[in-house]
Amino acid sequence: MKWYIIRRTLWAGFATVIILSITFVLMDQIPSQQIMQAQFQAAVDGVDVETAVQAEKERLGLAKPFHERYIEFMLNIFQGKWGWSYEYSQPVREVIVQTVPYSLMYGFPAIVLSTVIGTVIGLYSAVNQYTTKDYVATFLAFFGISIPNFWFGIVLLVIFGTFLGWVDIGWNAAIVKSADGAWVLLDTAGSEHPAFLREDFQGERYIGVLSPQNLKQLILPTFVVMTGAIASVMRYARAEALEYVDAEFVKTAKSKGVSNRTIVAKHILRPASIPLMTIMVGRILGLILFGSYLVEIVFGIPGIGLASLQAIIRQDTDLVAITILIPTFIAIMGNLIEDIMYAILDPRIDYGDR
Amino acid sequence: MPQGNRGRLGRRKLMQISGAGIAAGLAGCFGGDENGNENGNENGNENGNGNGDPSEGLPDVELYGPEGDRVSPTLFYDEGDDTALDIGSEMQRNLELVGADLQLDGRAELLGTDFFSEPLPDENPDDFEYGPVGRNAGPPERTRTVNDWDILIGIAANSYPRTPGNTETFWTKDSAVNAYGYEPEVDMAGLYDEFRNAESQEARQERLNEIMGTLTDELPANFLSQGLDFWGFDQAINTSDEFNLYGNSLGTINRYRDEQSVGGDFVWLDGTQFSSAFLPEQDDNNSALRTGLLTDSSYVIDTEDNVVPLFMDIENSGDDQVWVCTLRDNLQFGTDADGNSYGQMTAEDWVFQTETVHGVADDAADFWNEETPPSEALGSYAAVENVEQTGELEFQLELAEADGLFPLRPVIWAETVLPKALIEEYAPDAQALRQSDEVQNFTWTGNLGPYTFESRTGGQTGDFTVTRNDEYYMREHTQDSNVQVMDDAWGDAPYFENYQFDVESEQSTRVERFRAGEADRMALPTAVIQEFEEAVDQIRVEDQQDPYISFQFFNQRANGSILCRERDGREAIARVIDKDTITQDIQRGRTEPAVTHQPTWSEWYDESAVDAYGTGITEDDIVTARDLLRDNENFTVEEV
Repeated sequence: MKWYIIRRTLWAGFATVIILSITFVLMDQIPSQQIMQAQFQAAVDGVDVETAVQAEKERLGLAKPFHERYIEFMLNIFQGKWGWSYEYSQPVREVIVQTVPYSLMYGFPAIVLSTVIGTVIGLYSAVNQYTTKDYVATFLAFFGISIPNFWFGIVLLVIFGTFLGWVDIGWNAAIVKSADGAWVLLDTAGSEHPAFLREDFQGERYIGVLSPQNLKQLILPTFVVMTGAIASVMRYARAEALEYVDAEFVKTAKSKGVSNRTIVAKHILRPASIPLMTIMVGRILGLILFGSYLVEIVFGIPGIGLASLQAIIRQDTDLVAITILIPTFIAIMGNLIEDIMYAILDPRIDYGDR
Repeated sequence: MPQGNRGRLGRRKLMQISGAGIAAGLAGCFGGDENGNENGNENGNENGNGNGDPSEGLPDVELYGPEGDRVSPTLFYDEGDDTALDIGSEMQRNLELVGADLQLDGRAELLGTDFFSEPLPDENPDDFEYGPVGRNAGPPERTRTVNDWDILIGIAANSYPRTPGNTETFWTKDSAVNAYGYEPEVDMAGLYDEFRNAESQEARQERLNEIMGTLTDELPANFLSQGLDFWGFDQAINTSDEFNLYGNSLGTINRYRDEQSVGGDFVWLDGTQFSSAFLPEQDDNNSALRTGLLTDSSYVIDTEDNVVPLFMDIENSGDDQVWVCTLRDNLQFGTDADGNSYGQMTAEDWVFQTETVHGVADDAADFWNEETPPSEALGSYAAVENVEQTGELEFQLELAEADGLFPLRPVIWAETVLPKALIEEYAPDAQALRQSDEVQNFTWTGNLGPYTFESRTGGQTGDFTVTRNDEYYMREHTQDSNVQVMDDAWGDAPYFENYQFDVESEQSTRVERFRAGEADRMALPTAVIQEFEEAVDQIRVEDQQDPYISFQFFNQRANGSILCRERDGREAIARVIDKDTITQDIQRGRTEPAVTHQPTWSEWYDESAVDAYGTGITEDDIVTARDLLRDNENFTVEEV
């Protein structure tokens, strides 16, 4: 087992290097819009074009030869020097630290809820296989995955934001932070707090991740992401549960007069939950990857998905690399942890001879 | 002053995608129902736009080229612009009037490779009389556009209505932007030289009239539309009468909610993000609009082309070649990252930045660890031969050539300055200077701007927030000043406690938020202008003159259609392209037909000097267009 983990960890490192190298090469090969613009402007201004292009390359950190930049880039990445985001005009580390929590705020509850609800629906469908209830549950689950998230988000915003006025359409990014910019769980602040711009009130209101206003604005994006994720969990849970619905030990329990609820909870869910647990751990670890581009655009959430998208569009190489590195590395490690959990949860599985 | 930098940067920007203009209000629009009735509808009725077909009594024709093939030019349009396909389709219908079979091709990035040219495969560029430079590969008969287009729409060009001499770059054969391969039959560069060197306004106007006349005669492009930007404001926010005019630069000082007193917050909902904190290299309006709140600039130009001194006044020494700048006496920089003050702004700071950052000193590049100084304005400052400090608060700029309009040019106009000590602290490491705490967090701005930096969240849904600057220098200049006394309104300026740019990149979300009253100002997309004007009570729609003219470019290079390479062909096109329908119907009355490279509201525009095409099209216009082609040996017009 120990050697298996070491080998898998080394493989994770190797795979990360490969992916980072591919990212670097691709980003390097795409013609830079900024350099083209500088070239054009220099020609118009009557300035030496070569000099202007060189200046722009220096500004963008592209002046050195490819191999020097590549080696420097890789060394910096593994030394924790993540470079500078030209698009955000900030260190990349700062961008990551600022954006990841926003993605986690809606991503984490969406994953947990979709896993729990999907599992419940899956179990329900399994024990009621081919009944109307099974078809309804399956329909609802697939309804969620069939609707494009961005469209569903806009529709919900129009209904609950514009027509009913129950939620703000814009995302209040400042509500989760104190006046000095630090993240807070729950606190109070007066009308001078940046979260309450254009609002005039006496006294204080709650701010922070757990503040009512933040929880309210999290409802719609969480719901949209959750509905998209329920179906896969539900189908998986249903398939797993079906393996045990007609199992001998379940029949025995039934014959002994055990209630249906107990049979489902103790005799079907327990064995079926082993693969489901591993899936859930893997998905939670993949949360950062999960920062949904489109959901973040529609709801205006300044998360990692939006940062990554913007970085790719604007060829912000350092930021692209890190926003790819983090989810890649975590996904690889997540898979490793998944495999290890299999072995821990199910004694029949052993990696000793691999 | 806020918007000053933006004005200068806008002036430096030569071209933009018309669709990109939509993000800040569609380029080439004109406002409201009132204007629409006065102009568009009247024209529409006169020419039978929607009320009859001027070609009704004419036979259908087909146009053939010199090889006997049907003339079928290809039109490239911006597929990201929601009206471009309709405009293309209208042009397709219009060109049927002269028998041409126009093909439409939507493109993603018109200003990318589509707007490049290259030598023909069997040509050697070393033999060319000129080029390659920029998008211009060389003489049109020996070069071709990189992609096969004949007509291209969707690019708008700056008309420079204050200094139209700057438009030279579009119309000289060896210009960097001349992707379309225009070779004027007159000495265009000479005309522009004469314009710049003319000693009187009348003489300048005469030269410009010749230029405008040549352009509407030779038609290197068809001048499609000119227009306005459209802004939505919360009803409680005031805007001055001058807001609607081109060149309004002091918007923020004139803006308050309800009463003219200090209080409340202002939120500007925007689709674009902040990206550049290092001002000498800042080349995007989005960033300049934000940093303009933190630091004023040298001076701005008002709507009547007068200099309004902010940090300084600028005066002609008498020969148009040496310009004297005098700083206000209470300009205080802020501090470095450790809290140490940079002290008072003096002429030394300006001279130092002009020489070492903007490259006026011969050895400026040696000062840095990069090949060129870290400035986006090296080209602009090439006009400055020398800069010299002549007093603690006074310095002078000596130009390479005399220029009576120098203050109007985007050189020192709306220029900002960093403390000399800040630059010296990091030099020669330009990258360290750009990324320093002082630059990124604006610790150096002191009392220079109406607001001080509070916070920013990066990205396409971030924000940029500033708070009122209690030490703003301009408040002390309302009674007495060493430069110019300002009116009383500056005594309490600015009038908001907090000012925020709230970025919402997704347009539909942005519009919904504005409709729901979540902001005080937003650029309105064309599709919602009418709705906001008529049905959103809490929003007031204001228009603002825009200096960009939308062109219909003709490919005059070797691979261009014969219809575009022949002057008669271009005139025939211009005569039948229905600008009324395009501007009034397709663009919903938000644009106005353009005539030449100066907007018709420009003081330089002279109706008597130009040939106007494409408005009020009659049967005679169509007949004339067909006759032009019939009389040209390259074409055959056949009735069908």
